[in-house]
Amino acid sequence: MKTRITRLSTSRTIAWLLCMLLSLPAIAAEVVDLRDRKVQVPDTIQKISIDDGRYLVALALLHADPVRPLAAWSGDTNRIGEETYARYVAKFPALKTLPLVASSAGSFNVEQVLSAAPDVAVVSLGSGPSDAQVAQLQAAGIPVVFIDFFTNPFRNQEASLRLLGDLTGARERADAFIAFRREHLQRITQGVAGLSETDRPSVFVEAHAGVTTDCCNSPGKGNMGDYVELVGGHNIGADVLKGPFGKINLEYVISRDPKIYIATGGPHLERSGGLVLGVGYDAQRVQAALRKIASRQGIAELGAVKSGNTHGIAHQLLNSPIDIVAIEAFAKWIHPERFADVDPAKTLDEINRRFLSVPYDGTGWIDLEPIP
Amino acid sequence: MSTTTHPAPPLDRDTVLAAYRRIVARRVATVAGLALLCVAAFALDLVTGPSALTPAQLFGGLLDPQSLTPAQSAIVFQVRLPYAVMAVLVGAALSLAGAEMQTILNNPLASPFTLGVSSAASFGAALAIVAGISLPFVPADWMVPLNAFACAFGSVLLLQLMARWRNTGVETVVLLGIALVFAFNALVAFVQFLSSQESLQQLVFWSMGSLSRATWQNTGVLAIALALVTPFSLLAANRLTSLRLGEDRARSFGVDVNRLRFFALLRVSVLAATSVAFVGTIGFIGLVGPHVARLLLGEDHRFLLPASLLTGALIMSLASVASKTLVPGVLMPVGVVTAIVGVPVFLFLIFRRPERT
Repeated sequence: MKTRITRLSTSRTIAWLLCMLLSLPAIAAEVVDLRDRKVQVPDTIQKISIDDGRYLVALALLHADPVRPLAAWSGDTNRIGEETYARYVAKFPALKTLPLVASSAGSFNVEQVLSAAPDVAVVSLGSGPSDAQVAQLQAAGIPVVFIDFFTNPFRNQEASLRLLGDLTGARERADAFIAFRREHLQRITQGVAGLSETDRPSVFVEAHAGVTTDCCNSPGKGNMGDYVELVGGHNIGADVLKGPFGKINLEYVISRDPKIYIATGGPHLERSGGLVLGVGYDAQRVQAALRKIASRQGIAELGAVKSGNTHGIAHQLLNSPIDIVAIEAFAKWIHPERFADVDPAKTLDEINRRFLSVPYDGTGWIDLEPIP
Repeated sequence: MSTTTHPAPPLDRDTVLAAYRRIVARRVATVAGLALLCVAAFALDLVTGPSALTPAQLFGGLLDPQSLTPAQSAIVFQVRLPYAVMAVLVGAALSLAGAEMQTILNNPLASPFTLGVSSAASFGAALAIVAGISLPFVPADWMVPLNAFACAFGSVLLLQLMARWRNTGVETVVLLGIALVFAFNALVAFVQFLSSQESLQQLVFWSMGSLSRATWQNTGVLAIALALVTPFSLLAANRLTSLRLGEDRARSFGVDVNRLRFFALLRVSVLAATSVAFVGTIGFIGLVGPHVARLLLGEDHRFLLPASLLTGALIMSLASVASKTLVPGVLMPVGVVTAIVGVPVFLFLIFRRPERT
């Protein structure tokens, strides 16, 4: 008995010593990233680099000045929209002169990261650097952390936000936002709990409506289709598409006669005359764009268009750390009676007030007014 | 098989004439047969689709639109009919363009696309999509097709110009065309390199040829282009046939070869550029449609040209059927499918052909 106590206290001492050692400033802390890699990161991190402009929005949720923790960013203004970028630059001019690293949409460039010399390089799951490039960076003393907000938002978003919080010293605010998002998500999942398959209205989501003159790029399994399933709808694209995304036949859409038609769009469709939406667009402009989308050949005959169950949503709101707003909009469109009390506008207001240092304004979503 | 049959001796006038009439009759029958096949393929294209619409309902609805529900009517008149008509028109236009191109350049590998027309069209589309560069006062919907058309048309004119400037032979024209292909491909790649992910995606969508862009308006425009160009092609048929005997021989018949070439290229550019502008890149038809027609009918352009129209339309209709049925509910890019459908037909004809001696 006695020996056991001694042994226990010895191991305690060792543990205590270890703790001491680990908490020494020069010694690294450890985080687990989205690839389940254990990464040693410096205890005090001044600057990180990001390879996706949308992470800037995530940082804006956590920091009064989202540019301050950045050593470099990806400069992919197209992903957040030129208008959004202009708003960030207006408020944080340092963004304009911030060093650039390759975005996750391009090919990874080790040299850029090395010359920006962040304390940690934050990269995107799925499209970030290769294993060899990670090894190169780690060897040069720049730890690499993988995060993901967009390829699997439901599984990865919380952990990613928490990682960003840890790395930039804003863990509390990250936890607060996660709690906020969870609370709102819960309202949705509770609202559709026990919903039978027959109670799921059919939904046709057209991604990038008007990207070419013809119709019907649709999410399939996973991707945005997950949002539809989450709020209790049935994505008709998932019945025929094997992958996450594809082009379905307009005739198939007409013959399925979806109850709800949701078109996604954004500033990137302005040149092709598609659905424009989001920061910097007023409701009148967006309404006109949606009306044009809804009056295309074949689409105009859809029951969802005639009965006023046609809606537009900003793609940049869906692929976003504040996707909860989009989820609530979807929920209201697909089950208006179940979610009568849900108000995406109010949720966005609260996010703008409590979290985002650069508020999201503009028309992020819209309902088609009846075509006279 | 029909290409190499020669009337056997003795060569008295009546036997020769009778043999000639037999050949002509057989060729007329072949063209008529192709036309029938085309109609059948068009009908098949019309009745194929992911919705449960019976052929009886469909053809009944075509005759009496009131018999259809609004949804069925939308399917028939706004999806199936324009797509099917577009398939026929695009196939016919590209194949006719290819036939003329192969003849005037005396090159079996020539097609509107191997000489840079589609690359130029892609470049035009890329300029509109990525950089927003377009002709002034054009609505956004028409910007991409119009740009594609302008560049495609321009590329053929450029080809002409270069060929005339040096007054070069056909081999040089082909080489210049290939230079254009590489130049435009490089330019497209350059624009792609500069473009954002979204524009890139849009460009990729655009360049995968798709019949679902067919509206009654653009179908109408292509129909008019085809209707205007085809008579001139047919009028030039005999001169084109003489050109197949060699340039000098054609000149000795009194054919103004340069003029013939110029107008043929002009027709080719109108047809190819209009098609590409509306449906994107659909390769293979312009190359193989004419070859199939040649294998069936030989070099007499009075038959070869109409037969090319028909083989192109036929392959395209079948490709359209395949693009709808390979994965039900999904619309495969028809540019991908044309080769899948066309190559087996082509190989069959090649292997069936007796070896030339």
